[in-house]
Amino acid sequence: MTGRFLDAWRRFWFVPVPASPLTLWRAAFGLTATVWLLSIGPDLGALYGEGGLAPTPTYAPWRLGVFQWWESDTAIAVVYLLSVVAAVAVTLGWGVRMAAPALFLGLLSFQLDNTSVLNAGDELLRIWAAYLALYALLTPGRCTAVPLGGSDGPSVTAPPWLLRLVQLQLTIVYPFSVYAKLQGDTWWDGTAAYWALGLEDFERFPVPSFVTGSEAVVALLTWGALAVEVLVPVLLWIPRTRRIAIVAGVVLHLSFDYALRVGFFGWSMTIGYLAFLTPSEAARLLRPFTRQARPVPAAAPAAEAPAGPA
Amino acid sequence: MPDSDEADEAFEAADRSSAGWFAGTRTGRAILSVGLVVVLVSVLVWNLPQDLAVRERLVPVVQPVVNPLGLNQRWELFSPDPARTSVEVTAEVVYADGSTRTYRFPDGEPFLGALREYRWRKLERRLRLDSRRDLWGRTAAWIAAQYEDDAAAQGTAVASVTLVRRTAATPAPGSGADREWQREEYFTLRVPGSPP
Repeated sequence: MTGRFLDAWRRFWFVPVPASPLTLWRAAFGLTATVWLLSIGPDLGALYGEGGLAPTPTYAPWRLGVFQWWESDTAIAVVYLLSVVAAVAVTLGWGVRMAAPALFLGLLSFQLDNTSVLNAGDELLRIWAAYLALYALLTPGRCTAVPLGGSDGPSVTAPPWLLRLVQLQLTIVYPFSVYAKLQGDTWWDGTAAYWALGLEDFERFPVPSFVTGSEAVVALLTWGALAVEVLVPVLLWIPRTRRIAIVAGVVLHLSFDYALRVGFFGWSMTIGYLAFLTPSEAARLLRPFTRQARPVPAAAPAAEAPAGPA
Repeated sequence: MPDSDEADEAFEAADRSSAGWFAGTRTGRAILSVGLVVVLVSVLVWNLPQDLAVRERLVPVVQPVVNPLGLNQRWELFSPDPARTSVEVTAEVVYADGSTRTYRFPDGEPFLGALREYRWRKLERRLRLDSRRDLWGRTAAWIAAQYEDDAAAQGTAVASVTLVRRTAATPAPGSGADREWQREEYFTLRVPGSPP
């Protein structure tokens, strides 16, 4: 019994699978982190500089964050430039073992230096960075650093524990989100979507008036969002419903992203869903960036399983 | 089916190069397994409802994991209910010669610009709160600094910056009512050294 459990445990976390989902995930995360960093560029001095508008932060015990030890405009500039270089390197698959931890430290440092401008998407991006950094430090360079544009991507295998961690993180947060929503009134009475879409300061692209003007449509959106959050964590782990769950989750978050100024929230959540793609699905998405696309080797035991449980 | 030891040995022999210097060894996998469980349990504990006594007891235990890795995220977007109030914070900048300027935080196009400006919207939401007085002085001083050159070009200086919060409740569904904005000046910074 114990032996079977240990075998299952090892298969789940450690038995290598084709690296294409990992490569796709890493590149998508790296690209998002690059855009995130570029987006703070125009406001670097205002949000993080010595003469900026944020008070000096207080660091909780055990916090990392470069600016608690090195606090100056020079430090801001140096860490920013290194972080951008690291993010590009992670995207392209160059020197990921060094770049991923550096990028994590950079993102963490900026986020801790001014928490008053953060939202949930920023924080999730930081969590993905932490997981990738751990993985890059503990796994061989070849599988973490399959380059975009390289020719050997699909033939490389990698232990899936990074993707498992991402999958489980995505899975366990939804029930908490649903629980928190059910403590309110508007998720029960079906008006939550109306109130969320009514916030002028968060408005992004226009939402048709037949949406916000119809109680039925608003209720459908409210309860639909809730239903997706309830069902997705389960459906993602069932092979037959996995694709539907991925589409439902991504559409939900991209819908928020369309209507509301939520920054990188939709991006960060979509990165989470990429961890549920099978090697062949990931390889197809990577094909435009791969010089010589080769079929996924059939020898790997879990070759067609999503880096998921099936 | 091979027993676990045999499977371990076969795994190590065949896949060490893929699994890596750490996860490619039995000891490494054992340590990593414990670490992965600790991370996931820490995320679970952190996300427990805030009013649970058990969370209060466990948070100090998981902080050495959560804090360095930056895992301290709570999943409460639009919870328990979405906000019902739209917010705008502006600043009235008064020069020593009596002229005034109105400062607005960056706003702009909804495509790529939205990827920058959501931070300013977040800031405005926090800046308006009485519980975030820690932000008021620094922000007002920073706004004053943005007008130093303009004031100097006019032969004057910035005398004060007043933060103004505008809020409007979203009308009830189906009411057809218009949004009514309320305006309140809630903090004034007198710039040191400016003429009285």
